[in-house]
Amino acid sequence: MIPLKSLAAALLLLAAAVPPADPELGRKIYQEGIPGSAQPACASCHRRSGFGTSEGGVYVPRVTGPVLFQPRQLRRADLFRNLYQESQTPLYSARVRDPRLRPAYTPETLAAALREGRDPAGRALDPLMPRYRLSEEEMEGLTAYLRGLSAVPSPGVDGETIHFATVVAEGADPGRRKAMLDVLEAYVRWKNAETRHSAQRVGFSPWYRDEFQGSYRQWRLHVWELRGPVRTWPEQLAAYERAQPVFAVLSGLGAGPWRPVHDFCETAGIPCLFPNTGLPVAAPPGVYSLYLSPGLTVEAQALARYLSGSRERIVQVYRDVDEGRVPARALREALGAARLADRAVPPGRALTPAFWKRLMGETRPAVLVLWLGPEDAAALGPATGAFAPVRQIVLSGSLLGDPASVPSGLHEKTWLTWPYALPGHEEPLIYRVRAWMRARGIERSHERLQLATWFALAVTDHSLTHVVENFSRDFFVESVEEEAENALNPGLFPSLSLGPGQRYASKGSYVVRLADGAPGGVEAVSGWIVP
Amino acid sequence: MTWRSIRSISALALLGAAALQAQPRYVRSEERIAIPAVTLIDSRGERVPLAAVLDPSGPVVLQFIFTTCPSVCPLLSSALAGAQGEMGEGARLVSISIDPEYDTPARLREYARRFKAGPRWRFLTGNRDDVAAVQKAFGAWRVNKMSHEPLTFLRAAPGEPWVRLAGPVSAAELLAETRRLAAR
Repeated sequence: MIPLKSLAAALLLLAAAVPPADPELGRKIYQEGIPGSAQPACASCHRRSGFGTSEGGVYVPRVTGPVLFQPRQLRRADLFRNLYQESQTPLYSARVRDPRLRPAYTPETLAAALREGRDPAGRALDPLMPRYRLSEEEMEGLTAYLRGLSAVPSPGVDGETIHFATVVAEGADPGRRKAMLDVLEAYVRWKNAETRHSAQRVGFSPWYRDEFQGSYRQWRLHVWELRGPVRTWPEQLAAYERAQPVFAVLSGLGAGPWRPVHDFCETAGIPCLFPNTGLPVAAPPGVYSLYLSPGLTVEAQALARYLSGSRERIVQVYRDVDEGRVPARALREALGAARLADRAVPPGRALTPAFWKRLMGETRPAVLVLWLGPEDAAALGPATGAFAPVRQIVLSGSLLGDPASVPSGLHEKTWLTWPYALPGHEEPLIYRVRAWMRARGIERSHERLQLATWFALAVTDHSLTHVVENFSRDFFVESVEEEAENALNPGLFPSLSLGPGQRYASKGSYVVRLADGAPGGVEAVSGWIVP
Repeated sequence: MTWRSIRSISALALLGAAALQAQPRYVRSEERIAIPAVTLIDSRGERVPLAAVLDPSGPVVLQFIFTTCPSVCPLLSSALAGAQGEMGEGARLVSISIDPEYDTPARLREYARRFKAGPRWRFLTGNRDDVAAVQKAFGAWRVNKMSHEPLTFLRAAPGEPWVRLAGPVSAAELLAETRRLAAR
C-alpha cells in the first residue's frame, strides 16, 4: 500500500510539473499556425471567427467553442445559405446535406481529430483537412482557445435589438450630414417595419421564414458626433461605446482625417463599414475597418501611373491640410521627387492671379496638378492667362465635387482624377435605389454620398441574414467580405468587391477630361487604372 | 454458393474496393475552347497576349486562382507546386487570377513565392473584362469569386482539346493526368 504522504507528494509534484493550458498559445497556433510548421494555420480555412467557409466548392465546417463542445446540432437556418442560396457543385451540396452526427468533442477526441483525422463518431475527417503534429502543451493551449472561440455573442446585441452607430465628424458640411442621415434613418425605419411584420408570423410560416425567428432584431441607430480637437476624438468614441455598445459602425461622415476613428475601430474590435471619407487609412489595412475606396491616395497613384510614360515636368499645388497633403505625398512617392515640384499653400491664403503667374514663371510645368476644392478651382478663372504655357491641368474629381466648378476657359486643358463609375453607364440598381429614396421622401441632394450610404446599409442587411443568430463581429466581417460582391453595387463605382482580408471595395480610378457635351460633363482619357 | 462463386465475388469486391479507394475527387472531361484574343499582365507587370502564353508548342497546365482565396486555391497551387518539378522540360504552368483588381503583379509575385513557383510557371492578371472573358471561355465564370470551382485545365499541344479536371487534385494526380495526355 502506498503511504498517503508519498501519494500526496507525488500528486503535488505532478500538478506543479504540468503547466496550465495557455489559450494565448492556442490563439497563435489557430491564427498563425504551429511555429516552425509549413502546414496551413487553422484560421486560413476555418477563418478568424471559426465559422468556416463555403468557398470554391469546399465546405469548411465551424469550429467555434459552442459547435465543437456540444453534440452536432442540425439547424437549417444556420446552413440556409449553403443549402439553398449559393451556386455550388453536387459534391458540395451532398457534403452540406450529410448530417454527420457526433457527440461533443472532449480534449482527447479533439486531439485525435487533429492528429489522426477522426471525429468523435469514429468517422474520418475530410481528406482536405490536414493531420497535425501537436505537442501536449500545444494541444492543450489550442483546446483552451477553441473553447472560447466565438463562444459569446459580440457586444451591441440583446434579445430584441441590434445597435449600430454612425460617426459624424465636426466640420462636416450640414447638407451632407442631413443627406446621409436621411438615408440611414429611412433604411432603419423600413428595415424595422419589415422585421416587425415577419416577427408577427410566429408559427405561421408557409415557407422557411419561421426558422429565422430567433435571428430577428430591431435595428437601433445611434449618431456619434465628434466635436472639438481631433486628439479628443478617441476619448469621445470610447465614451459613446461605454454608454451604449454597438455591434458595428455603419457609414459615417468624415471631415479631415479618418485615422482616429479607424484606430478606435481596430482597438475596440468593432466593424466599421464604408465611411464617407476621402481619407481612409490607406495602409496598412485594418481588420475591422472596411472602405469603399482608398480615396485620394488611389487617385494620386492612378494619376502617377498614367503620367509615368512621359518625362514632362510636373508641379503640384495643394492646401496644407490632410486633403491636400495625403494625395500630394502619394503622387510624390509614386513619381519620385526628381520629376515633381511641390507647393503647399496654407489654408486661408488666397490663390491670386499674381500667385499663379509667379509660380508658373518660376517652375514652368508642362503638367500642373492641383489638389484643390471647388472654391479654389473657381478662383483659377482670373488667372487663366498664366496657365497658357501649361499643357495639362489636373484636379481631383472627388475634391472638386462638380466638374462645372472649373472655369470654362480652362476646360480644354483640364483633366480630373475620377475614382467613380463613368456617367452615362449607369448600373441598373441605381434606378431602384433612386426610387426607394423617392418613395421615402428623401431629397436626393448628394447622390454620390447617398448611394454610398445605401450600399453600407444593404451589405450590412444581407450579411446579417447570413449570420442568422450568430452575432459575432468577426463572422459578420467575413460575411461582408463575401456579400460585397453580390450584385449590391448601386453604381457609384464600376465594381465593388472584397475578399478574405481585403479592405477596399473599389480599387482604382479613371483619368477623365472635361467634355461639355458628354454625360456628367466628363469623358475618360484613360482606362480604369488599378495602381 | 460454390467455392468458385465465392472466390469471384471476393475478387470483384476487392477490385471494387480498390477502385473506390483510387477514386479521384475530381471529374474529368474534355472540351475544345476558343481562347479570347486578350492581353493580360504578368507578375512582372508586363503586358502579354494570352495567345503568346498558350500558343507555343508543349503541354500547358492552367488554373484559376485568387491570392486571398482561403482554402481551395492554396490546395490547387500546392498540387501544382508539388508537380512542377516532374512535368518535363516543355511543360508550361499558368495561374490566372479571377480577382484581377486586388491581385496586382506585386501580389502575384508574393503568391508565386509562397508556392515556390519555378520559371516555367506564369501568373497572370489584367483588366476585369479581359479576365472575365477568359473565365467565360473556360466555363469558369461566377458572379462572386467565392463561388468559383476548383478547376485545372490541361492541354497536350496547341489545337488539341483541353482536359478539364473539376475538383481538388493532388500533385500525384496532376502528374498522372499529364502523363496520360502525353501518351495519347
